[in-house]
Amino acid sequence: MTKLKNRKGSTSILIILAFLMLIIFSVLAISSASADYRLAQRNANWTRDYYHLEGLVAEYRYQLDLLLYNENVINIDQIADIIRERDPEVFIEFTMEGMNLIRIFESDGGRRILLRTVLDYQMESFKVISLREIPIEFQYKYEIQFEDVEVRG
Amino acid sequence: MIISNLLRIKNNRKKGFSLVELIISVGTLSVAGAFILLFFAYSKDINTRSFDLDNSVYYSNYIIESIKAEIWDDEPTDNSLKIESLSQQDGIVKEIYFNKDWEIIETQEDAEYIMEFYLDNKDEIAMGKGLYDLRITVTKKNPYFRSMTVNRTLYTVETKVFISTEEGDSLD
Repeated sequence: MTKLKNRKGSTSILIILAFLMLIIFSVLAISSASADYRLAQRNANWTRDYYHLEGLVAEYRYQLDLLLYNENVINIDQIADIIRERDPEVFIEFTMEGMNLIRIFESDGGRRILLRTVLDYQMESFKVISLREIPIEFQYKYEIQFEDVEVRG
Repeated sequence: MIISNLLRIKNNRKKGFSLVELIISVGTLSVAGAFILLFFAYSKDINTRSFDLDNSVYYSNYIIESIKAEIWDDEPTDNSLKIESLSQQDGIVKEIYFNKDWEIIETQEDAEYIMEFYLDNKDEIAMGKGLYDLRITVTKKNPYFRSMTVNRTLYTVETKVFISTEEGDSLD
């Protein structure tokens, strides 16, 4: 086995190794920073989209209150008929509390928010019972195959 | 005599690096180091942009939720946001100033970030409540490291709020 006795160029090797280490660390720093920035952008877009949906809900609530304020309605059935005529996507049911109104709003990105309000039989005002986002459904890419379990013994 | 001969041989053996080797290696490392420092500066710039965007979203959410909850106060306490009323011609326009560390300040001269929110009621009021258009825009005064753009818009959000407009509210 021959041993390297000539030490010429050892400095260059050290310099190259140090340079490689610095390059690797700098690339890792940029990669981590870019991932953080993408996450911040996603959070900003998510928030903007959510408040756009809430804006649609606020406008709808305003239209409902305007209906009580402006329209000459005698009973709650008339209100229900007017709402169904103006908005075919609404779901209305009558309970002990009053008229329950359920409406789903959808954004361009596929996100949905559900509004549930109730108008009591005195027809004073619409009260918001529930305002929540409906989670986006997802499917696993690869289906999990379940097999029958073998019972031993 | 044998020992002295051995010592002479040992002292005469050539060790260490040559001057040319050192000069070339230091020169190469300094040039490469300049490029590597630039990469680290880029990563710091990207981190700053992420930080600014997160803060913009955070303070915008704070404003929107405060307005929706109708707890807006024209006489803020030390912990609340301070506001500067500018114009009420077409609506309510207010600006909030932040320094480079995202701390709220009073004057625009020292501000690095400016949050402007615009609240306008164009719709008929029903049952003591009004529908307001709310728009919040966050801008950065000075350019980033790799950019020449001044007054860059960091974040914009538009929504509508359905809130009370009865006397006693301090929105106007």
